[in-house]
Amino acid sequence: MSQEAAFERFQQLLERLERGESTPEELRAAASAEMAPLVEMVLHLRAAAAPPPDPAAALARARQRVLASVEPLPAPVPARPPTPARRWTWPELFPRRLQPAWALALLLVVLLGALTLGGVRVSAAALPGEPLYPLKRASETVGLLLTFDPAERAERLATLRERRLREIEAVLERGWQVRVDYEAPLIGREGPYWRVGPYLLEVSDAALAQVPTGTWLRVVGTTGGDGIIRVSRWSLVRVPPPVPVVTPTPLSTVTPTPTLLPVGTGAEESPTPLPTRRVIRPPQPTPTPVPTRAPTATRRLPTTTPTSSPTLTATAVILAHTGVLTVLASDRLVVGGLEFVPAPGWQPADIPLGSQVRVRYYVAADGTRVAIGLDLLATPAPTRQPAVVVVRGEVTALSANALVVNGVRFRITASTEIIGDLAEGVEVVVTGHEEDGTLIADRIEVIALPPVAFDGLITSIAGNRLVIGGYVVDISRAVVQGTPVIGAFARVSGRLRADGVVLADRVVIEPPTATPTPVASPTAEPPTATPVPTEEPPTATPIPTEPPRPTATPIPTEPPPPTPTSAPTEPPTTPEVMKEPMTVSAFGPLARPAVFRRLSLAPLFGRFPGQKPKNSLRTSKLP
Amino acid sequence: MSSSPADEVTLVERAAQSDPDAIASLYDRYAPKIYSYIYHRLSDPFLAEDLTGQVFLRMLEALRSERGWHSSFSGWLFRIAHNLIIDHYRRRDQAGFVAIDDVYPLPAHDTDPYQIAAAHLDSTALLEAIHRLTEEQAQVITLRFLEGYSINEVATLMEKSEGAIKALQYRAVNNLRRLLMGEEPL
Repeated sequence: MSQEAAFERFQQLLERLERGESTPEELRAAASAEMAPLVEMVLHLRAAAAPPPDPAAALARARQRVLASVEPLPAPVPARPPTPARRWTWPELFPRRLQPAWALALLLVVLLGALTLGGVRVSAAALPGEPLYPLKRASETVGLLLTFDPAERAERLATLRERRLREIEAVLERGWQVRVDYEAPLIGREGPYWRVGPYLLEVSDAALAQVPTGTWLRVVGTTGGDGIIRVSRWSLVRVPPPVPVVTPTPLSTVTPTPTLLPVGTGAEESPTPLPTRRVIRPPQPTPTPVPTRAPTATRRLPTTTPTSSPTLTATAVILAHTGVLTVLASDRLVVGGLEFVPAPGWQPADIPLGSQVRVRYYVAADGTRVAIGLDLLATPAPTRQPAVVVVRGEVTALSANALVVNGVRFRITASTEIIGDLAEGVEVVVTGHEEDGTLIADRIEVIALPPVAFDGLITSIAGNRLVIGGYVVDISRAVVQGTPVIGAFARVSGRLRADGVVLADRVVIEPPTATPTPVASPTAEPPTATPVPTEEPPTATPIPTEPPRPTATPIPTEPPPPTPTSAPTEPPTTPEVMKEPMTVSAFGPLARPAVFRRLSLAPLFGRFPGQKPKNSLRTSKLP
Repeated sequence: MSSSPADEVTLVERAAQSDPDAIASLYDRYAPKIYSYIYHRLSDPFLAEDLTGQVFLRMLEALRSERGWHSSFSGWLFRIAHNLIIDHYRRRDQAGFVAIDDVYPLPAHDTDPYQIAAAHLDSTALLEAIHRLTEEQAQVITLRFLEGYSINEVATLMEKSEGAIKALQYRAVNNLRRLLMGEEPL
């Protein structure tokens, strides 16, 4: 088969698979011996082509990043004077019959803009009476307007109802006197007050007495420092049809709020975050379980089942409150700061204190919260020491809230300490910790050291410090290839520290050549006569490959004296083996900057134009 | 690739004028494909996110400086993505540090992390083998078999003839098979 025919045949086989005309087995059978392995490879590839994890959130973040970078271009200057623009009148722009639509559109644009700018996020925690609270409510309204799916809308409404209750709880805790509104069922009269949902109301309107308990009301009023809400107006929301249920249903959401479980509406099968809606009517003869939607929360561990509520009155509304269990005794329990009394005959299961629980209760005539069930939502998380992670490397990706270093992604938070100018491509040391599976950067330090690359002979070794080509090189963090020995040729790449020491990232050492060049000590002194430290092997002769030019050695701080009489006991040409690492100052203050400027421009392992192959930096620099 | 060329041209022109709606439209249209492409080359959702953002930032930069696309806008975007992937691999390969790229960032939610890790290990060998192919072969393998584009679409994206793509595909699959079997590619 010619090559072109093979390409075509292969493609035909693939098309059969892609069009669904052949199963993988049929394709295998149809493939010739030549094609079979290729078909197998393609089948393997297709199997490996798992879709990426849901990218919606990732794409949204990247989208925000892209759009945030958009800067409007300057408006083009008109080439000629523009013709006088028509002056639009307000009624022309906004015809009366369209004004509500315009207003709505304008509102949507403004609010969506605010949403984009993060204003809503800022206002998410706003409480009634706070400046951002109207923005929060408006954004909720927009969200609701844009939710068209009935089930989703119902879910959103339920969430908003819960949110209102949470807000009121917070407001009451703070003792603020602000206007609030909420929806909840009427529970009944308690002394001079009325209880609607979890709160007591002072209502002057006597008509409320005509409303049957369990009726849903919308209440608008003002909170007082005494925990009572003074109602300015109220209205009926709906009267949900009662559903006879006595079996508790599993809870599916974890909401840190006092949650109202309204009277059943027959919507138990609809997806709603509160699938526990029910009313308990003692006279019902046959308890039937409520079909509930499978809970989606995975942490929930329903452990307890309430007893058959013994003292419930007709149409008692079961409420739920979620919080941390702090007291669990036979006569009282405290969840999220609220106190409950266990229902007679019901003993709550032994749940560890500190657990997140949901208590189901009703409010007795005297205002006591009577608990009838306790669900364990989450056990207290074991306290563990967060692991500290340190990664050093190049920043390969950077955004406002994350960076990737050596393929490791860290999240940047408001508390991340950033030292230096962080940018893509710079080298950093990131210290962070793991939190819920994500690495959080605690500190990012930019290593702003210029890169250097050079080569030369090893003339000194002192621990992790070597003198290579005349430069003090710290190899403690370097990847060292080969064994450092005096006289070996080494190529170094790394960073130049401010003190002149080269922090090597990589050192490649070539062993000394097998044919030793004659020892070219400028002096006639034998090696044994030099002040060589005893730890050095005697074979490490001073610079065996060094050309016999005394000026080529960078070590001596003083040029060799011309006459040996001036310093007879100190041979000037034996500084190769040093007890202490040599400092760069040995080069002299004038020569160093120029050398390092050139070094910093040196390509990795590259040479400068005209540079000699070995040790040329040194020889070119020194006279 | 599904939009009309005229529509696309208009959007790109508006995007060049920094029209946020146009940029958002282009992003929404192409970002999922670009993300998926990058993800299948790198197998790292976080990097895929970062690089997807970079693709569009580079797109904007190029459009503003009137360095743009010629025949296929989507093909141009894929080439930007491709270049970023190459840059990433190059940087990774040049890094003299211990290779901790293998530390796969596991999300703390959704699927069982062990499952994710196992899947990641399985795909690592494949990814490495793809990485050892020539750039064009790697691109055709990704687009054809991991992304599921047709020969015609890949030809458009890579600005080559269908015949060339068929030949490239054949050689790419053959070489990938050889690499996975420990042989040298042809």
